[in-house]
Amino acid sequence: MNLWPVVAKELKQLVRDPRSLLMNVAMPLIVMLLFGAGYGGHESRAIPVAVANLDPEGRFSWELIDYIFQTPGIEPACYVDSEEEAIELVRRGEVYGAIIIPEHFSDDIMAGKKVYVKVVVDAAAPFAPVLITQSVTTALYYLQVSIAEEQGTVAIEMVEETVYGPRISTMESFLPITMGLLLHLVPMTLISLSICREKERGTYEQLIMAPISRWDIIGGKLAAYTILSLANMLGTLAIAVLIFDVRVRGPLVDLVLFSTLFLMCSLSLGMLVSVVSKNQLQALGTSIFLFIPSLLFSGVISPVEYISPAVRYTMTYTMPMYYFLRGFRAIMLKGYTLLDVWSECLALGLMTAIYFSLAIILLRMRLG
Amino acid sequence: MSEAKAIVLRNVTKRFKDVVAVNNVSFEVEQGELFGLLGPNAAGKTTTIRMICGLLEPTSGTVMVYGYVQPRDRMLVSRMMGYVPQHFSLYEDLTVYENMLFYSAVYGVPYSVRRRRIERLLDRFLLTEFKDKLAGQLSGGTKRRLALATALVHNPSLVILDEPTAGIDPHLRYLFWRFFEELRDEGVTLLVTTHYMDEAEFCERLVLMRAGRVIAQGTPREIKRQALRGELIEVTVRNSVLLSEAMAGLPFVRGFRLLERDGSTATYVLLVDDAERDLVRVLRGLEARGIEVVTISPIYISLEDAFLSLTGGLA
Repeated sequence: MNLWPVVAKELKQLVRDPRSLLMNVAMPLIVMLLFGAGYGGHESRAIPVAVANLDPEGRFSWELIDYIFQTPGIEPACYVDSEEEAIELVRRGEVYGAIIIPEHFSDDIMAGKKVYVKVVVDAAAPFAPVLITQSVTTALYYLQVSIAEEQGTVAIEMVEETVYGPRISTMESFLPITMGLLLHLVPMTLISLSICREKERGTYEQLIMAPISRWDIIGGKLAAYTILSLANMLGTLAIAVLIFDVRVRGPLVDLVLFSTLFLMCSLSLGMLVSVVSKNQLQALGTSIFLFIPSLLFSGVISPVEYISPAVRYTMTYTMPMYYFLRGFRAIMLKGYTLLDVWSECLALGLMTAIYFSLAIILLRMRLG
Repeated sequence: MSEAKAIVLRNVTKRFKDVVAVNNVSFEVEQGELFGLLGPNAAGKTTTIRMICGLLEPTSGTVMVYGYVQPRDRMLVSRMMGYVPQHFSLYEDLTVYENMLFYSAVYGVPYSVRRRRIERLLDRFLLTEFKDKLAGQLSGGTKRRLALATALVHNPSLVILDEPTAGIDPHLRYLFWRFFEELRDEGVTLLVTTHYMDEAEFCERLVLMRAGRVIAQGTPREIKRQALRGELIEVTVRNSVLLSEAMAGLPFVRGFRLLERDGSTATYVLLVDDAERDLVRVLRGLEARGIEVVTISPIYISLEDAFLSLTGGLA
């Protein structure tokens, strides 16, 4: 076993190569800064909707509008005088939805007649329909409670409480995904080039002439890339915590250790790609190709329960990203410790061992 | 190991898909020899060398280095071998010193002697001034010297060089062969491939390859003799009658040809077994027959002539 020379050599090369530095160190930091600038902070963000109040003289219509815009997420962009005008605004894409309060709304309520509020949404826009209907439903509920109190009839009030609250900011809920992308795609792509580069530049011929084992080559490279990526991961986490005020509920050490395990898993997978690829271009393509399912099926976009069982059992549960997201969310948002996410640790450790062993077995110590 | 031959190839064949790169090659290299592997491009030299280094597996036949079978015993043998591939194969983004340090560490050179040994090699191969330069910034000739110096960091007893002098200037080529001879004098076995026939004259023994086959082997002189089935003497004599009969009458002349005849002299080329030995006998034999010899000398045959003759390129 003769690991250290390879580690030292790889680190020297990594630090000296401006491309690898840019990709491995600068890029994740920049991504995290951009991400924080985009989603961080505490000011509220809202999507615009149009309001057509056809009962301008009624008292309940304005009360309802007040309730609607007290809910977070939507704001009135403009008030119009007819239903057609409001719908036209939605159609033209100027607002995400329109809320139409019909004529005689307040009078009909007082008369005890059945009334309605019309909501027109742009179904093509993601998130918007749910957000708008949710706001209107909530507002209607408050209005009904208020009327019931006034009239002395029965009202059932809903009391809302959150688990792991009181409030998780957008930045905090997106951070596991961002860390997942940064700790998976970047190191995997970078290390997937390493063996191919030696082969393409011809340095592999001299290297395997030396009394060096597969273990030395794979282990040495992996150790060097882990050290560099680790420094980078700490920097990225520091930006999130120190600059953008992300709160880690669990122990920070556990979060770092868990992320390191995931990092080593990504690097082992990248190493395996490098060992089986013929050249750097192929390695790069393979890394990206492997990354796409991670993005689609590991709980980044939707809860994994929405994924069909066929894909879920074959792909989701075999992807390191799935276990990372679960574990990272648990430690960061729920305050779990490493012991609480032992099953995720086990899964990641197992996959690391498999990728690593395969890379060693498949590395060819011959030319041609 | 002390009695084993440095390198033994027995009926070695290497096939790449439908191309036979090396075809039933056998030769042996003794310890302490400066051995040449000669042939034009695509003769199979590099493939042969890579099999000796354990970088390629022969399709059939046996390759042994110091009695160990390659590539099976690669880890055992590689400590005794230094290898300079045809193309520069060190790290261009590491400095001269870092490259040598890396390989001395990989070869397990004890920490205490690394520094001193590297300094000595840098000095020996005129690299000291480039010590902290990136290898990628060096000129072609300097890279070659670095490759050779790096191949020697672990004091190998066998050094294999693949076209070490291809594409470098004559001065440096000369210098390189002096290095090789020095190393040989220190007891190192060297196997050098080249396609420069003139260089091969420096080798003690060589193998001539063409299209994957060995077409001749032995000392340079043996190969030339093998090529022409003898050696040549050029003789110019005073013109007289029955000259050809006189030539044919000499018992040790195996063949002759008239090169030119002018008014007073005629020039012949004679084929004999050994030019040096037979020169005087030819002279005496002709004088005994009353023929006046104007000049007589052995013809120098270059390896190139021999090679062309062996491959049918020269009549």
